[in-house]
Amino acid sequence: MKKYLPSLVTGFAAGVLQIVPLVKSFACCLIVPAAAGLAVFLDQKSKGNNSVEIPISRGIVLGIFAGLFAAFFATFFEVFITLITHNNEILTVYPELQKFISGFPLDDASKQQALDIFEAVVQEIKTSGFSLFYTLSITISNLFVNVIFGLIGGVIGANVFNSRIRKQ
Amino acid sequence: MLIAEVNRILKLKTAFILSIPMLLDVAFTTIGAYPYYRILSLSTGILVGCIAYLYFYAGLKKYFIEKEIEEDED
Repeated sequence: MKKYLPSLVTGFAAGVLQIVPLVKSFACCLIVPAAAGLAVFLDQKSKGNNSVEIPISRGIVLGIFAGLFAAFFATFFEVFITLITHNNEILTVYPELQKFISGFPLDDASKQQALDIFEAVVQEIKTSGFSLFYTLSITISNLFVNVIFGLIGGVIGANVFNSRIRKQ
Repeated sequence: MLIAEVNRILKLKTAFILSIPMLLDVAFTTIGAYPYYRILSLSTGILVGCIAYLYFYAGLKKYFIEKEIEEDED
């Protein structure tokens, strides 16, 4: 576990930032790669040897773990806040979502089915503050997106770190 | 050679500067300063994406070189 402590620290920070309004707009494209890059930097710092290049494979592993932790914490906080407030972004965008789905090039039965699912999610969030479908959706989406962007951030972070060492 | 070239041309500062338009676009759209323009988002996104891609490509290439060296040693 100690090996992945930098990823845990930066992943936690990224997870928290992913639920902050306005800042969360940058979640996948900037926050998660930045967290992965920072994990690479912290890992090298923790070893106390700043003059040795970090292998890209280590950057990839740290990036993936930073993404995994970020996804876990972001999902946890999102579900927790929804549970307390009984309110969520999906409730705000639901009217727009209905128009959006109506415009899909699908048959009416499929559109209605999609609308019914969203209606059920909205009702569940309003009444109990928890929706299993919503929780699963954001878990899968966060895992998928954050792991990919974490990997990219890890590679870029290791590359930037190594280029700095080469210059020294 | 490519890695050295990318590192020479693209400094971290350049990446930060090129990501500023995207940051401003997202911030202004979110606070409602102006409506969402696809073409503007596409342009600012491409700017950041190009830099990120070059760094990522250079990093991946280095990873495969490292892997080859490891395999040769084994």
